[in-house]
Amino acid sequence: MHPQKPLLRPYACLPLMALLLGLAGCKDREIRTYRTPKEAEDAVAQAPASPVAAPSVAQAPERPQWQTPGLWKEQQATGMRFASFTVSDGNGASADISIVNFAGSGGDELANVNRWRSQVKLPPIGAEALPSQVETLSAEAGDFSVVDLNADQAEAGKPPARLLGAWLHRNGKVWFFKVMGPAELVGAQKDTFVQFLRSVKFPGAGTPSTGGGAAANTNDLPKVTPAGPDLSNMPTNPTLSAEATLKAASGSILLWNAPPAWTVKAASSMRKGSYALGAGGAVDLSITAFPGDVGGPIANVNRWLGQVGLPPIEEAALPQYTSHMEANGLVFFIADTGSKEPSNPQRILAAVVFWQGNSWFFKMTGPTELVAQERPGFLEFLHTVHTP
Amino acid sequence: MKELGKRVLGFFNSLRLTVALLILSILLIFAATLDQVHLGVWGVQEKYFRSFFIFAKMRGLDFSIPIFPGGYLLAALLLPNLLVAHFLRFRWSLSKSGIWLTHIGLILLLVGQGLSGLLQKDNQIRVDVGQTRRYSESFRETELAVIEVTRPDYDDVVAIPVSKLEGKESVQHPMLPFRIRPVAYYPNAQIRPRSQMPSPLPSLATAGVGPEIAVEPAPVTYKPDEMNFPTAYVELLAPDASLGTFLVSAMIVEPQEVTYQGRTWHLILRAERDYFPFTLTLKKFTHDIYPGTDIPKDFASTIQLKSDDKRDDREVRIFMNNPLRYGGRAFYQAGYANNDRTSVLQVVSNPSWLIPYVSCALIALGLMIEFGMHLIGFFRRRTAQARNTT
Repeated sequence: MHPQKPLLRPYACLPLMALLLGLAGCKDREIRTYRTPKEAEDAVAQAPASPVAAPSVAQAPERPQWQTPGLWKEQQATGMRFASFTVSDGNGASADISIVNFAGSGGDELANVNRWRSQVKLPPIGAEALPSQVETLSAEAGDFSVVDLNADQAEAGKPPARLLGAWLHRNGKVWFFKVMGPAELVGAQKDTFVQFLRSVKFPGAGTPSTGGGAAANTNDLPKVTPAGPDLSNMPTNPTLSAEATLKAASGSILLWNAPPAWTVKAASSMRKGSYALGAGGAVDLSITAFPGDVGGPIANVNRWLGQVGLPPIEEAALPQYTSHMEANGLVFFIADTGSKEPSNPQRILAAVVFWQGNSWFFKMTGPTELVAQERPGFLEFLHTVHTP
Repeated sequence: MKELGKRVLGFFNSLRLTVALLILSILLIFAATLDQVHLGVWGVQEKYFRSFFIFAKMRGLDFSIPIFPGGYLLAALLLPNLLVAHFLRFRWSLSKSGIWLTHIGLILLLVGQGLSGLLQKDNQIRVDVGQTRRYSESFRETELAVIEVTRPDYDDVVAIPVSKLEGKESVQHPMLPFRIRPVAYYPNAQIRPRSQMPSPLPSLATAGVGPEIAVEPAPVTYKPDEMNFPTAYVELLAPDASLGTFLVSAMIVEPQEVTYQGRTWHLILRAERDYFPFTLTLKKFTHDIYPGTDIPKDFASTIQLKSDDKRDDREVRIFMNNPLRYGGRAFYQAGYANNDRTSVLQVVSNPSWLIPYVSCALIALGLMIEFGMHLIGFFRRRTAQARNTT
């Protein structure tokens, strides 16, 4: 078939082809410049209660807020760190606390856990073992994945290391929280660390915090106190959240300030505080709290006498073993098993205070001589115990 | 010359070319569909359709060679084929107007698709209830933002596409008193604190956070659920001295500071941003599910839209299949996060978004005319037959 005479010159379509091919070649991006309103440090914190009247602020990187435990000393956040703290036990040992954030998922979880394990000289694990290593902690900021890595062996000349790590995925970023240091000190900080994670908040995503961009310290203890109580029950700022206020109202809280010479030991779910005293740390001091009066004075004293191998006593003999002391508005009932039996090899010196429906026990156990040596320091320590 | 032109037109006028191109297109779509398992949607689009050739590495060769025509090449051949055949074979007449309109509609559809591929930007906004946003971020593209923060009330941003850091050529811009010299570039890399690495390589960085960070280059990923983290070492060169070599990475979310001659800049590698002349404040986000299930029924964002020129200050509601079209962009409700506290909007800007609508209208009109004329002719013939038989 012979083509009919075209309406347009056929060459007319060639420039169109050239234009399209040219456009296809122009995909490379160019440098752009623009002016933007100042990025607010925190777009949300500056937004007024009514979002309608929110100022025209640009998005700044999301900045979390938290309550810094009283014994954590804030350090300058250098390098990749978003925030940095240290905590020490007063004997020169200290643990490092870091908060780092990355864009993305932060890489493979197994690789992260194994990297942390290598830092405390633990062998790597396989993917099948990962679920048993990672616990989930649901908090206001989201679901934290938490690991507790305790070294089996110590490096030569160093105490065994322990690492508490947590990560949180949020808005395309991952936040890593890590405590690393000597096993005993890090263990003693575990509850504090968990409480700290619970306090993490991202403004705009929940209840706004009253704190600024920097960490807010709500503890009234000096931040640099070298050794001190387990702060897992530290009262939270009542303005922060309903949950924290409820907990503070229903729980019994006491604060104290331990002497620098005391070595912080790992606290447990039972122990609110745990210290080693005396030569070689042979004296154990535990701080526990139980609801009610736990049987009353006679039951307690007889239990302690039994623990050091002494026979029980009648209630009438109680004053021979016990005394009272008042400090900071608290009345302590003090019992000493060595009062009548100074030759017994083991001795318990304990103080009990009833506060907010709970009996708080401060109990020192150890060789009689060493307990006698630590007695003045213990009584002095009781004077630091106070209510929030 | 005239002979060459005729031969070129003869080549494009060929119906065989049309058939060959259509077969190649079918094969391309088939291969791309299979490869989607490995590369994901975005990777397949880039490799098969937004390219002139499909490249592959052969054994024993260090470089890739083209093995199949890509989508752009096929379209670039198909379009002139259609145009030339159309203009050479058909002559304008009223009776052919339906065919003409249909063809023009088809040509426009091809052109529109080409323009969309080149000009369309797909970004997203993540916004929490109560927050205000004035820009969207690219899903895939990254930029090195050099932000002068010296002024108290505004920032001046020089946004350098990451592709400029791939070469060796220094980047110079009149707004910056220093040059940016790319030292090394990794399209995807993981970064770790050096203290956590057993034996990290020496760092190329001399300033900022870089000296403390180890870089682990990683292969580029095309998986839909994974991201690439471009990472680069760049040296800032002032006329009188080097201001240091900085490590920039999409993984480093905090900007690094540079001070020179009393002015301060922030350096950050981040998702490419598209700033609006208006702000969007998320007032409320609702997410309804079907009773007794977790299946989303509806999710909607109530937004306060406020333009910088004060012309608009109104509340809009964006929900599934009901986007907000404003300022040359369409804002679609795309998702949600953080227990329904964060709304995710997809922002599409495409200057050629109307072309597919126009071309579909032209094709429909053309077909209506064509078939209408056939129908009228049929009725006329039947009427004439009826007259003849009576």
